[in-house]
Amino acid sequence: MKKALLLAAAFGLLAAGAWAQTPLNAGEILAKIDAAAAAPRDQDFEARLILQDASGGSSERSLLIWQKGADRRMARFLSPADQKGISVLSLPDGSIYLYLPAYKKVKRIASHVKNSSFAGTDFTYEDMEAVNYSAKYSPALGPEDERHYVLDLALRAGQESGWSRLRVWALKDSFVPVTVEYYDRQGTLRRRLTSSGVEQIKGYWVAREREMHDLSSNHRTRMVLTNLRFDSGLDDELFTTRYLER
Amino acid sequence: MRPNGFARGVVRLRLPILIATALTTAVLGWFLKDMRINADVFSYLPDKDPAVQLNRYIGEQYGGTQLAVVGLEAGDVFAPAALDTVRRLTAELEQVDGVDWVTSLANALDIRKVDDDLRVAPLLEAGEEGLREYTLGKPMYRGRLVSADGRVTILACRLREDADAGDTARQIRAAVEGLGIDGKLYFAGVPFQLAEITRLVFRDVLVLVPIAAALILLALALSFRSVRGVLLPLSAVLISTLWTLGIMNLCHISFSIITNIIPVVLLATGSAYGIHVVSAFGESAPPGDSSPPGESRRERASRSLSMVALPVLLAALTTMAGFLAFVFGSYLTMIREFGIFSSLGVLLALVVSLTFVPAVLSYLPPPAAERSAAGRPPRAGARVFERLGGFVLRRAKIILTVGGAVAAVAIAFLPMVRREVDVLSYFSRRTEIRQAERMMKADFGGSTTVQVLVEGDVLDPRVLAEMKRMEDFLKARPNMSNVHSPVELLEEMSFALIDRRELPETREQAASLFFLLEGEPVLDQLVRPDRQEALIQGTLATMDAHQLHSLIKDTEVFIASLGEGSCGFRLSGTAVIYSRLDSAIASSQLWSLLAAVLFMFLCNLLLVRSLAGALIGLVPITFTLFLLFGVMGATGIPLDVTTVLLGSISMGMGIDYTVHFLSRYRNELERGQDNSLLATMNTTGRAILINVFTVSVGFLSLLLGNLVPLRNFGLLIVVTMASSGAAALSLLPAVLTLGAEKLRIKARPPARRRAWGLKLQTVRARKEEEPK
Repeated sequence: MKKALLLAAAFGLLAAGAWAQTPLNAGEILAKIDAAAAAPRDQDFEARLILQDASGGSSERSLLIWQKGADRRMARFLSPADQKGISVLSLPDGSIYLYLPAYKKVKRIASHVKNSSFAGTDFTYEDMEAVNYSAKYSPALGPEDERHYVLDLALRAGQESGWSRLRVWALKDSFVPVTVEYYDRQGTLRRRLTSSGVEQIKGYWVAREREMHDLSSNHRTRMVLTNLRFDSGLDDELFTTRYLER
Repeated sequence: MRPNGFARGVVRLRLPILIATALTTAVLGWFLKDMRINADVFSYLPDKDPAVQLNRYIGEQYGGTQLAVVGLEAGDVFAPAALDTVRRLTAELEQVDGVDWVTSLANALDIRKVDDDLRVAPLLEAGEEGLREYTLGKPMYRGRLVSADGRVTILACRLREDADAGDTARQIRAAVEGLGIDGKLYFAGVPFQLAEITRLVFRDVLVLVPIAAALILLALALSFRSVRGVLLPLSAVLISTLWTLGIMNLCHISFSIITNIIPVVLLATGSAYGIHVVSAFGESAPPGDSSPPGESRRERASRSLSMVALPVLLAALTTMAGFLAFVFGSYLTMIREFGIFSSLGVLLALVVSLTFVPAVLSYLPPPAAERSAAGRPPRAGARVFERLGGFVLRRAKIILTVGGAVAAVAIAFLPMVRREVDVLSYFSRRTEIRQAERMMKADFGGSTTVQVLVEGDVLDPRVLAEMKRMEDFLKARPNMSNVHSPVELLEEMSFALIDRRELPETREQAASLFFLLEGEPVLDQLVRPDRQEALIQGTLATMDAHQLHSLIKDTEVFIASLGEGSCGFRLSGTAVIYSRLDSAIASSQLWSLLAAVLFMFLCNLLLVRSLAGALIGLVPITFTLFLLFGVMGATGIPLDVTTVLLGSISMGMGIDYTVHFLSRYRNELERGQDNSLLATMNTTGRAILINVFTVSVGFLSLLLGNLVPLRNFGLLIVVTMASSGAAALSLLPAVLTLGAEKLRIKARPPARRRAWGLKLQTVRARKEEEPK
């Protein structure tokens, strides 16, 4: 009898536990997605960008990227050879600085550039940053499946973006977005980001491969990350215009 | 005379022939639903043409060569309301399916330094203050996006290479008109021209064919005054026209500005064969043959058909020869197609006239009003012909002198014939399309493109320097404007970066400047992503063939003078295509005329079997050719893709008159007539006039066409038909009067006559005397 009661209690607890774990609402899911992306204190990696145009022609460039927090980032080109050393620094106030070794010049770039292509790829400067979705978009739950949460994100009033609506598929276990669809102001699907190779490094979830497909030009860019390091204590000095010129 | 095997066969198989004709008509008629129109002038040149291939390559690699331009005329395009309209238009045009990219004031790339910041952004994002001065001060925009006086601005829509230009142009128009814009709008560029030509070609085919049919019906009714004489030839030619068009659709041949003349040409030329057959059925037996009393309808039909089959065949062959001259003589696809399908149409008209028409006739009783030629009262016009004949004989020298003088005047005008390849000349001057193009010429340097493909490493400063030299060379050409290339963008970028508008000194500097421009759509339109090839673009405000030729020649010389440099240059653009088209028209004219003259000479030789006779036979058509080009030179009607057809067509059709005249003349000589020429004038002369009348009336319908070349064609072919007819009735007899004996045109020995001539001469004689 005691045993039976215990069993019942155990079942009850289990049931209560399950009950207590109420499904996350859209805002909570999005917050978790943002939190997962912003979790590392700093990170650095090598990115290989493979560009593929509609007719199948492809080109490649590679760069080193250092990032501290969610809003300080430095990228330095390794290849192609004639662009080697070109560096881009993004700072928390939204400003972007560029260093051109061939001219030995640092130039600040006007803000518009955020929505424009990063080095001819299908990623924009904005895409290269760690996006805080919650700040920009208000979420609504879409039809989830076994492995993914699906969120429909609408651009908040007063926020600026080239996209008026996103649809995000995020993995339920890691909150890593594996598919993002971008809709323009007319509601037309313009591009699709797919991420793969999701793994946990030093406790942080990361997708090693991302592909941005521009649906109107049928142009794609694949970004493959290697030599990923987290929390190695990157120096603040790295993210200054002084360092840029070095 | 005994019916031949062919005639007996036709009459025996009359029911299957009628059924087969009906079935074929139904099946081929069904394919008419697939009628397509191809108004694209570029496709007139064969696909394998190197200029076409280069142009297509550039289109594929640099984001389309098709540019649809929407122009907005406002008092001041920099006024806030006008700028707002430009923004709305840009957003609307970007949504049009088939539009790849729109360039306008609203999104034009602007590179500048703002408070030491580098700013690479759409022009309007800098705000509207000082915009007018800034924009009009930059060659990148002035005369390219905005007229120098700031009154007109254009939105250039680059179409996707796979988009249907005409379709997209229609959608653009609908989208723009849906916005209810205040201000004058212009629609310029090849896509709008194609849309309009397609609409007009379609309309012309649908409207002109019934009109031509009605006019021919009227002409036949006036000439023959009998129901069968009108309905049978007309239905024969309608059936064969429908077959031809059905076969064209079956072969996926689109209608073009040229091939859309085929139905009218067939209606006008093909009716003759049916007329001959119907006439022959109304005749009594030729002299020497007995027309047995109580002859059955079938027997009568066989006999009549065997009389007429050969001469009709010969007449059709000469006309086909005129059309086939295009197949051998032309480089232009559309003209070859015209040659192939009009000669096929003539062949089909012949087949239907020799099978379907006699099959129907074999069921009909002889015409109620059958009368012998002898017992008929003289016709009203007979005396006129007698007088005319008498005059020609008496005044042969005067006639030849006048003819020679007319020809001399015509020849004097020959050098004034201009060639025209400009699609715009298809439209009347007052049309919207022409207005738009005038605006483009006046404010934006025209829309004829000149492109130079640069093959070499564009990151190499030496290549950039060569490109700059090429640009400077092009800028110095007359009528050339808007010359630009990646060089211009790099210089702008350099100015924003280091305050000096200069080309990079090192490869790394070039790569850095390109890095800053990466992802801008305008860059993809000027340089390949691998930077191993680039494009220099410009526009030309003229389509004058001489200027096009000299531009191309000068540029080739300049390229050669650069020698083995660090890069290669290849000239392309619509200017080159049009120039190719122009040379092709000129050589088409030459070769098709030569081929036609040769064909005609051979036909004549076959018929009269004497070299001199064959040459004399060429007199009327040669005279007509001089007159044709003389009229073109004097009136300014240009030699274009349509009028280039006239020479050979008018020869192919005009030679029939000479053939008829010479045959009859020899026949009269053989019969030992005292005045063979007068007799010929009196009989064949009338038949020729009726033919000139019928054919001309059919072609007159073209004057109602919407497209200018079609109207010119209609007008000139009437001139040539009248001229061939008149020359056959004046110059030819005059030459014969003066020199028949010397030229050894005389009766043939009986043996040869037996061979085939007799049938021909006698049948012609009957037929020409008695058209019903």
